[in-house]
Amino acid sequence: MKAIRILERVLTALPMSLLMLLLVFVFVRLLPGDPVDIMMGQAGNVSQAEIDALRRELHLDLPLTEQLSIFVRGLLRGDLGLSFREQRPVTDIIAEAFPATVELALAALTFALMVGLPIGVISAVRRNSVFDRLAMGFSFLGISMPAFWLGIMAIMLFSVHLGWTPVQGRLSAGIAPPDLTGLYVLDAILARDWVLLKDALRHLVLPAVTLGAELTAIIARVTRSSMLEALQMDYVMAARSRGVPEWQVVLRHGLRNALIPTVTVTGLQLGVLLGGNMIVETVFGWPGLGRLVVGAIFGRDYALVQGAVMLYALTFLIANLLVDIIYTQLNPKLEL
Amino acid sequence: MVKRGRWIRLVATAMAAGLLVMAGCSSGQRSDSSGDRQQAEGRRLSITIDAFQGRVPEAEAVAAYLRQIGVQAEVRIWEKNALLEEIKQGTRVAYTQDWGSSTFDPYDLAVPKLKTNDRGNYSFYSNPEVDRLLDEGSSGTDPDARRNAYHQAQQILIEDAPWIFGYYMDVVEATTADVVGFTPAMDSRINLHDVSRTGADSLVVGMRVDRLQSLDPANHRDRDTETVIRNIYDGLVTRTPNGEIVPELAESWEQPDPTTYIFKLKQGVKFHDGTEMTADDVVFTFERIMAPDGVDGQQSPRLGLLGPIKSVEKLSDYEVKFTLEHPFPTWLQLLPHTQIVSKAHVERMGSSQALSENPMGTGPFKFVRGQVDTEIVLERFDDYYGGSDALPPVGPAQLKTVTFRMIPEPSTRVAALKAGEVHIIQEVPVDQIPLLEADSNVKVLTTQGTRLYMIELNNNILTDARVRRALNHAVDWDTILREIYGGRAHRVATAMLPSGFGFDESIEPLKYDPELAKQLLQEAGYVTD
Repeated sequence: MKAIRILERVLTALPMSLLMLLLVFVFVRLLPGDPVDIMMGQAGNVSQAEIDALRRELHLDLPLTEQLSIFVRGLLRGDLGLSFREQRPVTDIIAEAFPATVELALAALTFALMVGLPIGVISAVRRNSVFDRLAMGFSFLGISMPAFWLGIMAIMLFSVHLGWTPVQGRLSAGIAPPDLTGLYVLDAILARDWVLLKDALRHLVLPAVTLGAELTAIIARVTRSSMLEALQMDYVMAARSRGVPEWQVVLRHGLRNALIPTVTVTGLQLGVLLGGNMIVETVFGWPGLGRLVVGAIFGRDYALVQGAVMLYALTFLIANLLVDIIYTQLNPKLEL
Repeated sequence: MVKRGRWIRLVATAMAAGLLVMAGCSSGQRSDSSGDRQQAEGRRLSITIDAFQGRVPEAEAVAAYLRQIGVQAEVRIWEKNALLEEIKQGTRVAYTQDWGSSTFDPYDLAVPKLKTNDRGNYSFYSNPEVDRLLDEGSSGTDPDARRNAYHQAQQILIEDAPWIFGYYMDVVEATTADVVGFTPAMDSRINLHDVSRTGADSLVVGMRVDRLQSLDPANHRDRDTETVIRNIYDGLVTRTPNGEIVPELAESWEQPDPTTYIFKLKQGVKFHDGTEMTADDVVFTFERIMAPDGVDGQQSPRLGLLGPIKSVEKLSDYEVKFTLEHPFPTWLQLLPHTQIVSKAHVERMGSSQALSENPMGTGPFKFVRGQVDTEIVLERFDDYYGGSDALPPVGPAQLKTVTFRMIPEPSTRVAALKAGEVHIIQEVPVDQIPLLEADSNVKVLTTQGTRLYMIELNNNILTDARVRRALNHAVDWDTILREIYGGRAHRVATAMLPSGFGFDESIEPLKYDPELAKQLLQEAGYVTD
């Protein structure tokens, strides 16, 4: 039954994704700026013949409707076209960049949950204590601090000054990347390559914490306020009066019911994290999707932008679906 | 965040403009609808300088100087490529622009920028005499006559003042203190053949780009991509760091007539797979770029870098003859941009993509592994023929392993250098130079850049040369370049670079003279007080 519901949700989301893709197709072409001009650089040595040839190759000499029909025909064959700038299939380029973004997003999410949740719970239980006040003060900082500043400060302190972590990249020079999933930490574990694992983790920690800082703060705040509410509920008082140990009251009766808002926020943020974080990826030299897409937009690489937006739509779809499924686990009264 | 910042600035600019309109300050004199001001006796000149990220402070300073001579000047901030589209439609008045030259000749700078209706002529400047002189300079056969023509063109340009003439920047690169033998090149190439490190045999370069376009030498149009490719592949000729052309894979060449070049190839040059390079590979390399379907059934984007080439023929295994459509004096300057591939290898690979994943040339380093968005790892090629005799040391490279890492964020590049993770970095940001210079573990190295920066004027709107000259005299460039670019930018009198052929050093830049500027504006009929 549940499987059918999930399938239904996926199928209804497909037309939405298509519509969005069409919108992007049009909007990206409405952006002022000529891809051919940008590709040929503002430099000499370019002949008009070359420019015309390139325009023909990219179908930019055709009316918009014909460009669209070429695009849709390709799409039906599962072909997102060639990147304008690299003349390679868009799917290949995205597939190269996506694992890096997934790894960073998952690491940031793990960090945010492992730090944010306990802080939120403890702050709620010890309401108005010194811990609570400090934690909420820091979470305020976490929400307000821009990632590029935090990232560069972290590099200055931990990498340049203390020398604990590398400045940038996913692996040290001289270490060959594994060729499995593209998530290097996972690959290292699968291959039982502990040197690789250590190197990958050392490179991952600063960008993950930088990227996760805001989410940590959000999770801590949301968890705290929903915990405060849950702890006031009748069933919590009932549990206490039955003599259930306090830690069980907090975790089983309080937290479990307080988690729904946290899951919602986390799910939405996961979509954002997977969409690629251009700033953190740029600061830490992390070759992911965010950096790729920003480059594609500035370079007016229409095909690549379209492909990336398609992927965004899919990730948001999946993240939302996951959130809904977790809801039903947390509260069996809810249905998909 | 960056993007949001830009939006906020745009919105703020729009709001400010709206307020001005409401207050009646601009009284309908929008600069882009100003039309022909020459008939506007007794009116105030008003100009919007369009700028994009990176040159906004400079544009603000220029606007402030213009206000001092009574010009109503504002700055509007754009995304670079969106601005260009507007400029081409002729609706803008003054705009920050730049243009790179790679041949050390005005042929790819002043010619496309200032010849009537040429590809880069965004200022709509048109002077038949200048057109004639630029043609003579760029296609004549006698060097003295060419130089003379370029000199005369500069004389006219400084009078006509089609732009607010600008500056070129230094190429600023930095290395760790243990790097030996590295010289920054004017064309910003990084040639690692002659470089070594005390106490180590591996080296990492921090590149300024986030990705390379391809490792197929015929399928990109990007300087930084070429920088990496050039360490794997050699050309018939190469450039010294100062831009001089010297033989590389060629032993020598002769030019029996203005449209014919005959190249003698070095013998015994090996590709990384051990096969010998011959004239067949050279002919194949050029024909692959010339053919309309040479790269995966499409035209190579590097055709323009072959100049007016008509044909390439093998005369013997070690002799190749090139024929040009017409005499073209800068042809040798273009030649380093074509790197020789192995015919057999390219045919074996089948596609440009496969070739890009398995590059194989005659260069000092062979490809080990890498991804264009992360890093490219190369290893010394022990059977290297030695490289150009003009660039000692001749012989195999000294480093065993070299890595090119993509680190687009300048602060991160600098941090990685300070932490010793990378050993050479491209493009040090101006504000970080003093910090690095104070660090004894780091060396900062500079040379002249080959990109010209200016504020172009729309000559269809500002039709009076007196007005355009006045705008030049109004700006104190020395102060701007010192304060904003830390003295790393150098003024240029006209549209020609000191490093280029035919530069006339006797021409002084239009000097900062606000009184003269006011006088010129008044002569042209504008109010200046």
